[in-house]
Amino acid sequence: MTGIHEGFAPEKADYPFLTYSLVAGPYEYNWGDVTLIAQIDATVYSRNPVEADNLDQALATWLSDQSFPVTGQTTLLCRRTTTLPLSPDQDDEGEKVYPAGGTYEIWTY
Amino acid sequence: MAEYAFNPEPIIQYIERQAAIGVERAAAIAVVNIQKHAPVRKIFRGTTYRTSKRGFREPKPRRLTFEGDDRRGHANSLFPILVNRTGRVKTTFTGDFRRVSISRPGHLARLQTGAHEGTIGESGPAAFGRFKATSYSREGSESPKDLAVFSQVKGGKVRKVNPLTLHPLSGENLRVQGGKRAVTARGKFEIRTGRANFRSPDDGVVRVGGRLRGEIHATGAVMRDGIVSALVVSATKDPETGRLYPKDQEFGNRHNPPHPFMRPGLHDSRGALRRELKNALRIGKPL
Repeated sequence: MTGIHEGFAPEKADYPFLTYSLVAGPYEYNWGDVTLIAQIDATVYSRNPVEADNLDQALATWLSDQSFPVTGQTTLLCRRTTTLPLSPDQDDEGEKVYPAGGTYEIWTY
Repeated sequence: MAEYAFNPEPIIQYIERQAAIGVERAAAIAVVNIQKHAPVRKIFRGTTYRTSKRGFREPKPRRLTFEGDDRRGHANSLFPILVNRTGRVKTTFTGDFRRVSISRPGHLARLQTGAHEGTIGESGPAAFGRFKATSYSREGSESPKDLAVFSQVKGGKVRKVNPLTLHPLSGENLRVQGGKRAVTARGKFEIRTGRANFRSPDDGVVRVGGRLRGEIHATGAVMRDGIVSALVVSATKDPETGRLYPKDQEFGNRHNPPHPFMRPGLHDSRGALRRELKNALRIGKPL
């Protein structure tokens, strides 16, 4: 992996790279507590579809049930909830770029 | 001993019918919530402007905000404005004006389009078409200069209206004070080509952008395999390529960052989903 970028990668970024973005971050209040729900898309772009899938899978494995320390909060879960239906894209040189990614949810309270 | 035959069919039918009603209501709410998040083509600059060349001090940059954009569910109307930099009207327009506002801490002056109510300026309403002018200010927070600007707007002295309160949006009027444009380069292109024009089904007004948002809709509830479901659909196609671009907006692609709107809207609707379903199935209602 050559880089991790928020939103999208710069024009000349080398493949493969990963982009991530926050989809939704609602707060759920339960009396005195608040549950933070972060929904994050993470997508790997590669010239090679197999490589994209492998990296995506590696990311999913690493993130599954990962515990992220948030000050004042306890991680409830960190799971991949969806695989994104992404189709191959074409870059400026006309070469194909293969995305693979999923949505992850992190709940803390 | 008597035998009682229990026929559950009416109860099942009732539950199915009510569940369908609840799901349809929830889907309608989800549509509204999703529309709030839906991206709308931004044709205005939304950056800071220098407000005056006449001023003796360095003019403060002001941020222009255009009300219609997202917060109130209106996209960008066409043919809005009418005044040039000196405050004179170049052309008379009637009909569909855009609501424009200037907002900054402590001030909000808003000109709202006409045909709704009132006129601005007793001196020459015809020259300006008709539109409603409303001015808001919070006492104690404005400078004399600002007062002048806003009181003129309020008083309807059209020739003294701050040129930056009204931004022309068509033809040569695209340029505003200082040669800066009120619209982005992209916005100018969109206005010229009319490519992104979209007639809202709600009010029939043609606007620049907003097609994606306007075409989000819900299907009716259907029962299949014991599950009641309704779909919220965003299936807007690019008129040139035929490509479904809500997907690109939702997930992004290599070139463009994502602008998720379906999933955040659904997140916002979770409470409503439960509530509507519960209300629809509430026990105690007559069968």
